[in-house]
Amino acid sequence: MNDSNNLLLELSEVARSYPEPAGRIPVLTGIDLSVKSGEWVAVTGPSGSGKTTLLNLIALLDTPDCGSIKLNGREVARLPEDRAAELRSRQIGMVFQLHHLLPQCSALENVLLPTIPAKIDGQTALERARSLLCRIGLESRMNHFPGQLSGGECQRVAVARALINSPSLLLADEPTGALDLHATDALLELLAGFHRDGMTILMVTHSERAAAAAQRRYVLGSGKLVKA
Amino acid sequence: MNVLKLALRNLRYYLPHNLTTAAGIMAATAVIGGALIIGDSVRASLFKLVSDRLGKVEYAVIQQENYFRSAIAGEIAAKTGADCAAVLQVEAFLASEHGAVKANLYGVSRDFFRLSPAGDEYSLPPDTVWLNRTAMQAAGLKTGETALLRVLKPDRMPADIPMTSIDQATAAMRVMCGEVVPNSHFGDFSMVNSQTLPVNLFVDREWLAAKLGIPGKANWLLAAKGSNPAALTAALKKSITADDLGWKLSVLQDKEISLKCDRVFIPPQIVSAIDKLKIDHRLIMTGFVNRIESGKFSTPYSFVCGMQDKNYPEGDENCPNIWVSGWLANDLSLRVGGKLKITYYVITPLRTLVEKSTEFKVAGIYTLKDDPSNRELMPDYPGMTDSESCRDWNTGLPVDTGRIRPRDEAYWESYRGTPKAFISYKTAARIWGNRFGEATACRFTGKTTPQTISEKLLAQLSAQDLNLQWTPVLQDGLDGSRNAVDFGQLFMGLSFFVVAAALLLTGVLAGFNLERRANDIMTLTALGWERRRIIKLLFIEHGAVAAAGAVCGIPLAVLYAKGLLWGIASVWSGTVGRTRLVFEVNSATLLLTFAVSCALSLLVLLIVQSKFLKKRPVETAMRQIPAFQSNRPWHKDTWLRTACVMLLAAVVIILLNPGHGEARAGIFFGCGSLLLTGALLLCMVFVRRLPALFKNRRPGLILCGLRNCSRRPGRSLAAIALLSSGIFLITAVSVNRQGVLQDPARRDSGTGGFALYIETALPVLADLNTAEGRLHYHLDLPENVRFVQFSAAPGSEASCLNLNRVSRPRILGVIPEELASRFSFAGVIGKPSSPWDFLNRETGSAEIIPAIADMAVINWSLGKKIGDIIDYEGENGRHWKLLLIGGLENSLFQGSVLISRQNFMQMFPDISGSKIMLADARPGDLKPLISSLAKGLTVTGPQIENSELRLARYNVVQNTYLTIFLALGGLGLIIGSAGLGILLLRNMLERLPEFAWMRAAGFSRRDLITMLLAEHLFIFICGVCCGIAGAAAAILPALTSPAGSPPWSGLAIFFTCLLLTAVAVTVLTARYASRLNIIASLRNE
Repeated sequence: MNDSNNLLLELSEVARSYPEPAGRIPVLTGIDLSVKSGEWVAVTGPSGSGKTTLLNLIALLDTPDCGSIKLNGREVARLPEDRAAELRSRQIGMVFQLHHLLPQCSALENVLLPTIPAKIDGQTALERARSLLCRIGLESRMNHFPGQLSGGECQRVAVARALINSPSLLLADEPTGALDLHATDALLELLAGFHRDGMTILMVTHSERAAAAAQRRYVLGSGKLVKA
Repeated sequence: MNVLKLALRNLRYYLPHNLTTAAGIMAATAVIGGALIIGDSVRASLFKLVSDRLGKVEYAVIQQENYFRSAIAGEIAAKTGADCAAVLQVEAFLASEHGAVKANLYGVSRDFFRLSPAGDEYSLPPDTVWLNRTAMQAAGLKTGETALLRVLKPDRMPADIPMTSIDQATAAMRVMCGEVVPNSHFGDFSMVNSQTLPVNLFVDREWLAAKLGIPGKANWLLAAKGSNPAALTAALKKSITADDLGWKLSVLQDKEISLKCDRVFIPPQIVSAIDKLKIDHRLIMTGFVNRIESGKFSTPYSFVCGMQDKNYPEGDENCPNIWVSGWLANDLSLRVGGKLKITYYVITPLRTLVEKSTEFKVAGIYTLKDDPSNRELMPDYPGMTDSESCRDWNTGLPVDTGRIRPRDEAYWESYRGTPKAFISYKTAARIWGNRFGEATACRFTGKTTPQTISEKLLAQLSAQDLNLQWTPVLQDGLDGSRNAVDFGQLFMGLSFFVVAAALLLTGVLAGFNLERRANDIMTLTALGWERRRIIKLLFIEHGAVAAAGAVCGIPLAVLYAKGLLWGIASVWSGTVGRTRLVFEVNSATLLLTFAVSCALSLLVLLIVQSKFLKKRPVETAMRQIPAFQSNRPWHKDTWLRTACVMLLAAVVIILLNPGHGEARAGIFFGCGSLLLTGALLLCMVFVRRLPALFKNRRPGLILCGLRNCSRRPGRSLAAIALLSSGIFLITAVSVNRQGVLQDPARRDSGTGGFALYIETALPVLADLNTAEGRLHYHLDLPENVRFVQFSAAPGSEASCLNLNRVSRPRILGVIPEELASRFSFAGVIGKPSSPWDFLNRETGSAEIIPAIADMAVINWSLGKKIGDIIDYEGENGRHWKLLLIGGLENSLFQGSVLISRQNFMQMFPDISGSKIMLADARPGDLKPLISSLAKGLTVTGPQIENSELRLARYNVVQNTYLTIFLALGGLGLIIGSAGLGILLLRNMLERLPEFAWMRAAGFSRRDLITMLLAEHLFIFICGVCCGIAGAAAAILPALTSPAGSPPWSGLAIFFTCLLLTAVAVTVLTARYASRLNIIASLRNE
């Protein structure tokens, strides 16, 4: 368990814009955000406010126009592709709104996917994956394919996949966006469980129910992040 | 789970999509493999032809003018253990109601058939000719029918010597047609490396030899495979005798030994060998003079002898010494110190009589004696030597018997051909020396015998000197076939567009598959998969798809090759003539097909994969949002400027109209490419500017459709580029067909302005431009009809009708001045005003001879270029270098290499007469001219052809290749159009929600179709216009060439098919899109 007083993630003056024929459209302007280790932070905001853009920047899937992003005290905003991939593999887990499970792989195989770049021993990875799937209540479904699972079950598999490499930070982009009420509660309960175990979670959502589960809330609007 | 396992899982999961990608690869494999298999098949066919025509023969002695004992074959076989046969080969033609059929007449015996592929021995009955299938068909004869066979009578004496009579040059014999000789039994026997089936006649050798007055003789020797060439050469030299070589060695009364030759003149290489013998000897050159004059006195028709003797020094070269007999001195009232003039004919080609004179100073007068030795100084001229009187002389010379006086008859009766005067040998050689030699006899003194001289001479001379070298005919044939026109490469080139279209289709489908998996790729990236790991995953998948497509494409390749072979043997038979083609597939080719196809497909897939992965994962996942892409900045002004520069450059080039021949065609092709590229750039600017054009405006349906072209500008431009490139390439290449000449009378056209092309089976021995020549052949022709006559040396046809690589092309000798300003040159060394004059130029080396050939012959048949040298082994094993100084543009001379007549006589001194002639005549005179020539030249077996039609026959090959290109290119374009159709369908599927909304908002089905049609037809029209603009520039040289008009009908069919395909694809996809379920589409959104 990390010391909750340690800063795990720190964004400073981060900005991102996109090109247009008439000029650039700013999406994020001067974002400052700090997340301590073991915290659960939610970022809300209306559609098109740049929530997904913010998450993509933190996940090192995109590069800010300016500003700094630090993970565990190290600057990571403009890392080379290979280094960014390594960090995503070992220190960051991502859950999307649509589960994005590979339909051609079973639940167990989907969970194992991140262990390949992390070069974890096969047997160890298998044991960890089975353990995670048991924890999320899908022990008997681990060899089923996404097409044979419900939306909620798929999202839970996605969470297990995101956590297989024991990352420091879990990023969740609208994790309950495609789920009904019951599935939403089940997923939030799952996330809470991992949070209790010390997982740091940064969640982007426009669901009040999901945001309420977090310890801190921010609102993203007009390119700025404001504490709620 | 690992990368390989995931790759296999992906392959199985996305199987339908992978199969569509593999289908494109299969098509490409089929075309590549098909082309390579065609190459193998044609090569195998040519090898089989070599085997059919040569059977078990590996070496051969092939020559025309020497007739040796046919028993030599048995002697060589006994000495070497090799299977050997003697053949009597003569030039002949078969006269039938179908006209004269030029044929190869072989006098053979059992040993000949033993060397055939089947190896069975046959004896042919006398008076019977056996024909091969080609001869039977050409002559229209059946077994049991009789035919007239006319042959050139063998005569060691060259026909160009005026002393020989050409009236007896041919012999006719009536023969009965026997069996058809199949090719397994040497029916297609030939020493010429060509796939054109020969016209062969076979008769009994001894019967033929007897008929021709040379009993027991032959002129070819064949030796079987496995023979040792050194042993064969040694055995032949041991077996050959002086008599076989036409040498006459006799002991004279004064014990001198006289050497004379049947061919009158002793060849230079024999003279050189005599000089090396270290036996005392005197060379002799005796000439026949028309008159000897002194003052008002004249003595007709006498022999004067030049003797290599210290008693006969030359004196002053300008007025050399002459020693006259008392008889002559008396006849001309000569005194020592007086002058006289002798007038004589010199030997020229086509027996043109040129009279020359030389003045002499009388250095001495001797007493004439009737000495048999002196009689022997006269060369042996048939028709003269054995005549009893001068008036009985029957030679080729015009003898005015009115000038022969009684005292001349008395001289002849007493002294026969005893020379009336002697000059120095040096003078005689200078005035009478010719290409056949510079001596008519040699006298050996000292203690020796004819046998010794013969043996020593033979030991001194090589097989090449005697023209009796063994030629490795099998190796030559195999080399020619091995290096033949590579049909594999040719069809690869012709099928380039089909392959490109198939690979393009593969790339398009692979791109769609990757887009479909964009989320998978982003997920893996988000899960920490490095870029190189993702590349490895996709590489494994694409590699498997490429390999599977290539493997499955191989059976298709075999089928495609069979289809192509059927085409070549039937509708495209112009490329190979009557060649029998065999189908051959070998595993190395299939392996190569697999490797090439795999490599190309993998390359395409990797390019598509690389382009796809170039974007950031976020952008990859957002590929579904076209608005994001269209907002990328682009440099409008730069593209516009570039387009204008290209278009301007193209227009300037057109106006300047530079270059000529092939260079001009190349320049205009480049100009067309500039126009095409510039037009495409303009299209690109226009398409991207479309949104701005519709700002603040409410467009109608059609304009809405046009506006949509800018939605995915890359795809729209790819479609325009594909269409326009295909149209440009196919039109620009196909239009270079050589059609019927627009004005064949033009001197710069391929006919040179000549109306008729005449080829004879037997040589025409007179100049048909002279009254004497026309009189000899009973030709009643208008004065304005002129002939250009070509001496012809045998060789392989070096035209596009012969697929084999030619190492020994047919050589034609011509007087270059007769071709001045005729024909056009596609390339020439330097910038001469008259390239034909170059044929007479000195090259600085006696062995290097300037030559001109048709450009297609140079490039394709000979595999050379202007300025290159052809190594050529001529008569007597002498090596020559033919320097290619000029290339003709699509001329009548396809198949031959031209040199000057003078150089020809150096290379082939023993070839007399002409077998090829061009006739220049007015159109109105043609019919009577043809009739007169057919009748007058009957004894030579003429084939008279309209020059224009002959040229058209050569063009058939090139035109057939262009037809194949048009057909395959069209197929490629149709495949490309199908790919475009898939692209368009994909576009529409992406826009389904948009269409759904429009239908929900009140747009009718017809409105949707109208919009889509407008959008896609605009792309089609842009593609066609850009393609035509480029093609228009590229085809300008062809349109203005005198070589005829392009294949408008073929192009019309092509464009119609293209338009129909485009409209069909557009309408079908538009109707499909318009019929989709609105509710379902909106719900999915």
